[in-house]
Amino acid sequence: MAHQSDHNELFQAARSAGYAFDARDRELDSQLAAMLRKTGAAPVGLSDRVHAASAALLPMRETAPQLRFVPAPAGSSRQRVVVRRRVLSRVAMAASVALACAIGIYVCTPGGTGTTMAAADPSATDAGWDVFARDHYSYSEMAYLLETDTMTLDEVTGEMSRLASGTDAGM
Amino acid sequence: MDESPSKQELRDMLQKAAAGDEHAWRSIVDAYAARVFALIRSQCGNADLAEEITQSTFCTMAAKIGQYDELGKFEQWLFRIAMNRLRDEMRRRKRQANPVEHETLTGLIGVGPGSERDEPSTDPAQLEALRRALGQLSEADQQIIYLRHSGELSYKQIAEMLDQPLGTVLARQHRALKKLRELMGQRGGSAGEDEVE
Repeated sequence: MAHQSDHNELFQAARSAGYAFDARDRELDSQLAAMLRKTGAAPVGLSDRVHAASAALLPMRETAPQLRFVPAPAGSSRQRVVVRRRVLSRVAMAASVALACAIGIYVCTPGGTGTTMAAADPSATDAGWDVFARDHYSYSEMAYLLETDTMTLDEVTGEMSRLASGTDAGM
Repeated sequence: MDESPSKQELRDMLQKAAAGDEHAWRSIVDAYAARVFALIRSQCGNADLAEEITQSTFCTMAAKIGQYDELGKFEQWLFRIAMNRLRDEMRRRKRQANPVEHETLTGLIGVGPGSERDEPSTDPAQLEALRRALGQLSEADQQIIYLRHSGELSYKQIAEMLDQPLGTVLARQHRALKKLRELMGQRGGSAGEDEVE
């Protein structure tokens, strides 16, 4: 701690600048230091909470951070902001991208049958059912609906891409 | 409160933390969190707000540490972030008419003289008088006192942080002490007297 050397530094600098520094100034300076040290005493667990809040923001972390409030310790009236990790789902991400591409391609394809088939009986053809499902269901629901032998999301993604590319003979 | 690391230790910790090393980051937090907290709390008088700002400061640091270039001015950088956060928060509260609950000094410290360390003997009334007198100083003068005693920065560091000449910082500290003595004398707050305002 640099206090003692700072004390001397202060008094020497003041003396050389012509200020009259005396023992009462030194005593007052010490009282200030004592007072502020007491009022600034860190609460128990401060470092733990600060570390928990900030560590996930370090560079080159694998996961992206997300802010959230966590309950403050008992007796505190405020909530504190800490950071936790959000784990990204690669499968969901890839599936969403594939779906967006499939929809985009379908919409842009001339003579697309989306609107027509949406109103049609989805059970009429496999292609119609797929299109109907794509327009009306979420991706996870589609995975379930298209499931015949427990298709995975990757397989559903592949199926949607195949349909969107028009390689299905039924379209 | 942990001792501050040496320059080389700090440089190593910063490099490792910038590469995502949580243990190195923890060392930095252990070394400086308490000082940041003390600095903020001494100015705002509220422990919860002080902790919030401390957390916010270290979050900012963690996010920016990859771009930080260690040139021996880490503490100045750290405390500048903290002070800016505090200033922004106080301004926001002022705009929203949402004042900070200021914990009185007597509620924070133990009653009775002395302490576990070798410190000058202080009683709660004396400390309260000192704190009120401190509040009457200009913001600039208070800032230097807080940076020195709560933030534990050297005068040189304070001068660099505030971008002021060292002599100006020292002179300001000297004048602040003189003013405090006058105010304490007016309150009759010299040692041994109980009168408070």
